[in-house]
Amino acid sequence: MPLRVRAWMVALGIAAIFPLPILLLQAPPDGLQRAELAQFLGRFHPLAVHIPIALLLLVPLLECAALAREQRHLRQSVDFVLGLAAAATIASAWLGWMLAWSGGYEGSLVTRHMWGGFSLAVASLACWGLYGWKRSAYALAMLATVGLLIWTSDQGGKLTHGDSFLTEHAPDPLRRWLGYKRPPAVDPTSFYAMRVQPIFEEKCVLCHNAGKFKGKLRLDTYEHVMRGGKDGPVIQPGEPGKSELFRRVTLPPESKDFMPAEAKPALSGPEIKVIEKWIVAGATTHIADAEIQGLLPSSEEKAPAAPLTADYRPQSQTIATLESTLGIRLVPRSQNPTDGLILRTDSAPTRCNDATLEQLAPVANLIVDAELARTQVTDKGMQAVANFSNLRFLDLSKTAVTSAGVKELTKLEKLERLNLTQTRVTRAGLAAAKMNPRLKGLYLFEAH
Amino acid sequence: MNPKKLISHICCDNHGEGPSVYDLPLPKSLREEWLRLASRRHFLGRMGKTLGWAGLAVLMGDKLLAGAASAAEPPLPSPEALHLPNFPPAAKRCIYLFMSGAPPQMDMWDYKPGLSALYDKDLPDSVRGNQPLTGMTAGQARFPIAPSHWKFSQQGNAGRWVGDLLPWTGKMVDDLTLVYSLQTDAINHEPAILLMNTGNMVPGKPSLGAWLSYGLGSMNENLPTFVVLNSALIPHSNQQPISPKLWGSGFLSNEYAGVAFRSEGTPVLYLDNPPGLSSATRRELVDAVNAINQLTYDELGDPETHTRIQEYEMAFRMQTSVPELADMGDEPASTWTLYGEDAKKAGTFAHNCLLARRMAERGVRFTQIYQRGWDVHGDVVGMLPKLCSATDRGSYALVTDLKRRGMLDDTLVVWGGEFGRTVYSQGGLSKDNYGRDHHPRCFTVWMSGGGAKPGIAYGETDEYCYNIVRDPVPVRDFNATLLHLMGIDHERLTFKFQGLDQKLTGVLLAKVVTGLLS
Repeated sequence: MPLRVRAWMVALGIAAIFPLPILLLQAPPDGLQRAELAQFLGRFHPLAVHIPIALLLLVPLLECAALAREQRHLRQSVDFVLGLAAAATIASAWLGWMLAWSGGYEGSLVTRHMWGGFSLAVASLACWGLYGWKRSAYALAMLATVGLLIWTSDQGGKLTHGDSFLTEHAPDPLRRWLGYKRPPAVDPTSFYAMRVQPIFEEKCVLCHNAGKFKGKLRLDTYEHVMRGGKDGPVIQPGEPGKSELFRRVTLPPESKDFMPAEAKPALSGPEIKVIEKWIVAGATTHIADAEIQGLLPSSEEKAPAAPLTADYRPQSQTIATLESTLGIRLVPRSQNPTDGLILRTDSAPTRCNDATLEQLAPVANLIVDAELARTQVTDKGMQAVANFSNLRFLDLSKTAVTSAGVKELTKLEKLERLNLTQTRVTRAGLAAAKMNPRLKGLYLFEAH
Repeated sequence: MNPKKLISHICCDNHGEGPSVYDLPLPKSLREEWLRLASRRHFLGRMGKTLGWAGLAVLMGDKLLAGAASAAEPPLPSPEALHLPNFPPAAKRCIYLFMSGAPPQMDMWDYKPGLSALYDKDLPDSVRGNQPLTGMTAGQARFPIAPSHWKFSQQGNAGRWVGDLLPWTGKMVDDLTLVYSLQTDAINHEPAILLMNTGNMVPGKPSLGAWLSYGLGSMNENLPTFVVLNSALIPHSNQQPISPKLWGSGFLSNEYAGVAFRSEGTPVLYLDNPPGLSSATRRELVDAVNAINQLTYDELGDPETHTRIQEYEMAFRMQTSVPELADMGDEPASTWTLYGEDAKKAGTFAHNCLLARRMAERGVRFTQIYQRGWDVHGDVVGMLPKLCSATDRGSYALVTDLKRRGMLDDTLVVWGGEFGRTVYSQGGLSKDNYGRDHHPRCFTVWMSGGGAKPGIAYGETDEYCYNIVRDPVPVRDFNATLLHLMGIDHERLTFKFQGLDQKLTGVLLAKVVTGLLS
């Protein structure tokens, strides 16, 4: 190829990469996602880079092979391969910039890799330019280019796979020789591993991982959690109030700094509590799950509500039969099956009498709330009601129940509210009955 | 037409119009055999239709066609399938006393003693800010401050200030949860009342009562789950119209809409059987109509047909349940001493309050009582005492009655309008009279019972009763709180419509006001 043509083509190549450093400085990757098409094309970068890598490595191979007399013809290919490599490097660098700019990347690693890619494009072009001009300069340039290639590829690999990808499973002697320390193993029974990391993985890691670490923060391993982000550490052991991570997740959801951002699911109250506990306890991986319990004042712990009754669902068949034969309803108090049933008679109060209550024996311990107002029940039926061992609320207003019937109800230890409005119960009779001390609401309006 | 000319080929049937192979002089068996064979024409024709349908299916999406195929399936998730309530509710039922027209908060509840010194002073521009006003006062040259004409006095154990226009309600202030800081987004009646009742300013959304009926279902199958009572009009008051869209079911099935009882005569018209028609005959008639409707439903699967069947059934059952409900002969004397003689007159607010209590006893889930006339743009001094006296005793009697009957623990009572009124006078201000315009930035509502925290006052307005300085409660938060008291997580009672999981509290972030809960 005439030198003049080569010079023109090198100039063309320079023109093609000239805008790249300007874009790198003017529009650095800032963690935002944009431009669908750029993302689409950009994602071919990890695929396309292997072409210039292979071609650039092929050049020294060809040169070495051509040292042997019978392979000398291979030297003729070098020019072509090198030219192709330069062109492919430039194209790959452009794709790489598209990916970085539009794909939500940011941080020093990606910036280093981008400058590496740009330098590599310049270097490979220089090699090709020098090839037709000065052999010794070419040889030196080629050597430097291969070195640069290895470094840049390494940076790129770390971007995609994480920086410990290659060394993670290296044999210990090699690791020592390389100067890598194995990160201290996280005890799988520790509070951190069992409770904290799963929260990060569910709610945070989508944006704070090896490939896409918004705010330069990664939360996928303990080391990274403690290392922090671009504004420094996010965890201050012992001080949740001073820990940026804790502050962010406890802000009002409307706040600009609230995490998780972009309306992703927020941390629940118990999850926040777990993180708070962990930070208070020193934010380590050494404390076992069992030890950390009780480090906070117990008043902040909300004890899980004890089941009011057994699960009603195994009795569903019985309940359906009772409902259809007795004309009453047995309604779950909530979607929690251990919150018990309401005995509801509003649709046909006159159908409900003492016999009805007796037939409810199979579900007696499931009834928490008995709405018996305006029914036909009498004192006799109260013997059956007394077997509703989990009864909390009982409404007997406008029934024929008297003080004698109420006496039966003293067995109901859990009764909280008893409505005797417009019944024939007397105050004296009630006083004699000695209801359980839990009874908070007792209504005797218009009773005799 | 010469048949022989038309037939160019014996296979050609001329699109069914002309003579076909049947018309040829062939043995019958041969002709039939020929017709059984699929010709190229048949093949191409059938293939074309198949491709056409396939293309249509792609264009329309499979849902539409599948929908047509499975029309007879239940169109809506039933209340049972929703598995509500989400948690054991504080309130099983709710009675909402709606003061349509917007009561003036600073004349009744929100005590601002400092205003009397500011009589006829201009409302500072800094207080009003860049707020757009209604057309009724936007053109006013000045906005003179009108202090309340009435005195306030301290009531209850907490010494809460209540306007002297409310002698009855004031007595039970310890049972009330006062909210001084409700705020709405609408400045005119129609959007504002829709926002309060349906969570949206645009008509067509289900009302609070419809959501509750849908979510929680009925407690008494003989009465509607959601009843609306329109109180009689107060003479000379400025009434704003109300319409069934305030208690409608929107995109939910019509069976969840409120049933409005009449304020005069029998609550429901034509409920009695005509002379000569026995109840048994009526039953047969309803059965026959329902059977026909069921056929229609099986064929077309329109949920509205199903609603109609439910309505026939409900109407039949209401023939016995409503007369029993409306007959107040069984009320003890204590009822009338509490509610007053006014309550004996059908249609009065007090009567409706008593009716609401009777419905609560019988398992009506949600009752909404409307009292119109609160739109006091002028003559506040003349009109407001009439409005207060029409509603004060009934509200007091209802809460007190529920309380002594042990029902206030699980019945939520709510009192409020659609917005507040301005501190500045609309039209002329004198020592004797003034008017008040619409004011969306703050207004007072109260709740009682059903898990609301009694005896507190929530939120605070500035010294002009114009802006909220502490704990604002947007309408959506208030509605979220009401649902919470009924055992429902407002985020989880949703219905997919127009591509959105619709809910009462809308798309903006709404939260339960925990400060209002006991």
